[in-house]
Amino acid sequence: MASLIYNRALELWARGNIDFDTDTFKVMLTTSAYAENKDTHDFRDDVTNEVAGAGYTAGGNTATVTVTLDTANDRLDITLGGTTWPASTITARKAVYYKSRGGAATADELIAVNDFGADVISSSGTFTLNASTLRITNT
Amino acid sequence: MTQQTTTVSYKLSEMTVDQLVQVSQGLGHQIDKLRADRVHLGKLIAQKLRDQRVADLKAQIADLEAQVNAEAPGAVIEATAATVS
Repeated sequence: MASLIYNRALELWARGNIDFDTDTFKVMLTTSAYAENKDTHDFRDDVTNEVAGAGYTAGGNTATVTVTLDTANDRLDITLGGTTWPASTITARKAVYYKSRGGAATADELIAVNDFGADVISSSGTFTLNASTLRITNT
Repeated sequence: MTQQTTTVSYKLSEMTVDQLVQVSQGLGHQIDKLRADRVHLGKLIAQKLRDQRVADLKAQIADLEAQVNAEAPGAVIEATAATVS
């Protein structure tokens, strides 16, 4: 599977239900067993096989999001910030970004998933997730 | 191993000068032996402390070697906004 933007996120964004400047976003890690579906997965409760291990808390970490308009290249970059899990023992294949409303998983809208392409494994060390970018190009 | 000790009591006030000198020399020998034992014990303590420090360092190295950091790559996920005519 490849990295993708959930379709529902685009719709919610268009309808004004997601504000990348002011909302709280989080990123959670999953194993390779999570089969993302950009059509049918819209809320966090659709995400399965979240990782478990020392140094990792269910629901993941807060991620800083920034929006940059690039008129020279006719595109908008939404940067989903990276994060770290120190002293962790984690085997992860994907990072799922979502809007956190601070409550039930059924209320947290999914934004995007980053497929690392292979398992990334930390053992009593620091698991670092680098930032990803959602790039909307105006062709 | 059981060490048997025989204790003989003398009144110092009834001892001759030669006997007192012998007792004094005997005590001197005991003091010398105790000093030597103390030096030996000091060396043993130092060796054990060194061994403990080495063991502690080996344990720390083992812990560090067991730590594996990991770095997950970021991605550029693209969407296209196009005019539909």
